[in-house]
Amino acid sequence: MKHILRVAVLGIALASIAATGAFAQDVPRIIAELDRLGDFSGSDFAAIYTIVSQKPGEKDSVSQVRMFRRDDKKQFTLLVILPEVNKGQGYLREDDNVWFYDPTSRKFSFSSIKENIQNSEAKNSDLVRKSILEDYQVVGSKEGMLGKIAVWIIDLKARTNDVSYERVVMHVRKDKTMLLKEEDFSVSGRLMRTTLFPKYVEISGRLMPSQILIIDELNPGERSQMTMTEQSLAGLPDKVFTKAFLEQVNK
Amino acid sequence: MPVTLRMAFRNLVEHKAKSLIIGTLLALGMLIMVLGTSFLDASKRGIQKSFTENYTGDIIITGIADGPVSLFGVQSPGGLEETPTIPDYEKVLAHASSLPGVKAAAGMASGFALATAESGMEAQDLAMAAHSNDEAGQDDDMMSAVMMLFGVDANNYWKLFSTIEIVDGTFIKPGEPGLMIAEDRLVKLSKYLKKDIAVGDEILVQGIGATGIRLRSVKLVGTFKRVSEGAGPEQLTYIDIDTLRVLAGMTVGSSENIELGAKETGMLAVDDLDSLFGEDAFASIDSSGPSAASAPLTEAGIAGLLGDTSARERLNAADSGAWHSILLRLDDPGQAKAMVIGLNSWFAAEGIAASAGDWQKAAGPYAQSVDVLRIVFTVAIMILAVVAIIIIMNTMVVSVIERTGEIGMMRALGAGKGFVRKLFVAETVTLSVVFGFVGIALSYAASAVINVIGVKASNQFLEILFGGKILRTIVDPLALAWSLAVVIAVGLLAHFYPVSVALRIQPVRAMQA
Repeated sequence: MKHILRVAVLGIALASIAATGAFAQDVPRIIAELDRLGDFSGSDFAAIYTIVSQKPGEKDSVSQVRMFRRDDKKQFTLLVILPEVNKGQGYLREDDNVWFYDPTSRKFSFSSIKENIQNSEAKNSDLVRKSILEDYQVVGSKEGMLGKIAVWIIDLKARTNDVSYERVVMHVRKDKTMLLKEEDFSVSGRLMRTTLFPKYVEISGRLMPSQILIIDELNPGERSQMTMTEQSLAGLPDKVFTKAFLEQVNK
Repeated sequence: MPVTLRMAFRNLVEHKAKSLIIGTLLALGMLIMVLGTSFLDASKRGIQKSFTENYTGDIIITGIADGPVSLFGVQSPGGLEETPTIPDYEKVLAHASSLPGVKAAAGMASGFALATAESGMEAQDLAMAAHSNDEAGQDDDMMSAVMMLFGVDANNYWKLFSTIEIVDGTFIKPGEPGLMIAEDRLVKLSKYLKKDIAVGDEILVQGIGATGIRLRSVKLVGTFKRVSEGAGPEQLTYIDIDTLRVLAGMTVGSSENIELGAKETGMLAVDDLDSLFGEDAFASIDSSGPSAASAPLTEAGIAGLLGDTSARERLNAADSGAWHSILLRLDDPGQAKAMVIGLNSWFAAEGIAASAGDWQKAAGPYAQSVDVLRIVFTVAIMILAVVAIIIIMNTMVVSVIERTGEIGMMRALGAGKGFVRKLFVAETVTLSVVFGFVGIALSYAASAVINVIGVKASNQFLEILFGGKILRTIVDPLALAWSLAVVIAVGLLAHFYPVSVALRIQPVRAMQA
């Protein structure tokens, strides 16, 4: 009996080692797939992003922007729809330059890519293409559950200093490559931000998040919900990525 | 002259070397205390003068917020609380102006902005400059572009601050948009923007306010310098009130109500985050795909993309009744405290959510940083004084112990304990007074030398500490009297214990000692 138990325990242990080994080999593939899903190279992308930010004791702040991306040329255009007072304001990015347009004065100014979008938890850099594999290396991985969904939990450590967070833990759905949860940690190991991706939309065979919840872990009660609608991978007119576009939509 | 005093003089002369050593220490102690206190006094007066003459006036009236409100906004933990406006501004201004003793009153509002480049090559250059510079240099450059904006009531503001002197151009005129920048700041800004900016040129200003970012091109109407230089915000730039209101988001549409559906807000209220990932796992993929509204965008469709924008102009109109503060200049600044109490009582009686305060409230974080520096410096001077006192006491104790034999001899010759005590008191007081005055003379001399040399503050930290650009010391008679009293007290304390010990020893043994 003892012998059977020992064999059984050994068998389970070996099986789990084998499973972990197989999974560990799969991790780069999963990350590469996530990179592919976030990469719009070869096609244009457009969507409406609605961002609602909540801070304790304050009125919810609402921003709605129309986003146009052309990753091949490192271009994006962001057009503010709400609040009404900022309607028509726009950001235009080409390479590392970002211009801001104020329709009330019809003036452009140079602006940094690292600024937060309209005081929300979201940053401009969240809206441009980034490669997880280039920025991070896998330091750990295991299986787990997120709610009722089986996930891979992948621990990533920054390769460079150019990233916003030193360590990132990703919860990726097992049966389909979908990032469901991301936890961002500081250099000191403190959890800074949790991002949840509970809703996706499938466009032209590509899965894209349609609802995102961003939780500021440093300031309890501060959350932003980002909702994406009218996603499209159809080609956009070149003019969309010019200053003339921002001027024209405001005429 | 009483016999004890004569004997005291004679003893001091007899023990020349000892008297000189102790005396020198006493004089040095005196010098440290007098110079230290006069420096602190001068610093305090300098800071107050510089702030009240240049920025704050004698009294400030603001709205009420969770944290303290100053000219520079609200001090709150997050630092993002919106600066409150003064309710019933016209009524408050009329009341404050009518008070006896008020020489002038003016409203103002403040905000932050960046001077920036317009589109095109300038922006490219800026980006390249930012990349090519090292980080410290980049920060320095960026600081050249930062503007602390004071939006002023051009009818009255200049009457309050006669220290602002126009170098080129004019003051901002009532009802006219314009910007006034300090002469030295303009040089830095020109360097940052890589173009020569002169009066009459337009500067593109990017305001960061309650409703987000606003860009305004504002004409530079004048450059100024201050007659009375001193501690304060280097980045201070004056602007007409209406442009400031737009840049700072003090507009009609700043409290717009936006209604959204559950789809856009539903997740914000979810406590159990795991519940977002329930059993209906596949429900998390919306397979209906993009809606019909997302038909491909064409060039023809661009013009109609934004829809109706007519409300925007109305919402972006400056709120003409919005002011952050009212500043008052008094005939007698000494009356500020009483007037603040009176004003606050009036606000309470009228039910107006406003608050009055002195120049320190107006200066807010600047006054606090000055206070912290002053406290640190006061503690440093106190430590120095205590060390000096300990050294003096130690030397005196040793000198008395050395004279145990002499005390025994006096006692053997019939001198009472009281007489011996009186003799030592007389010696100590004489020594303290004489060398105390030497210390006073040295303090006056050192103060005069410092004032003649004119020690310049080489950075803003020292400027704050000095209460101006140049270190000035004023020897205060009260500080002199106080320091002399301390020196005498130290002398008396230092001799009390060793004399008591010496008096307890039998005269014969004391003589043998």
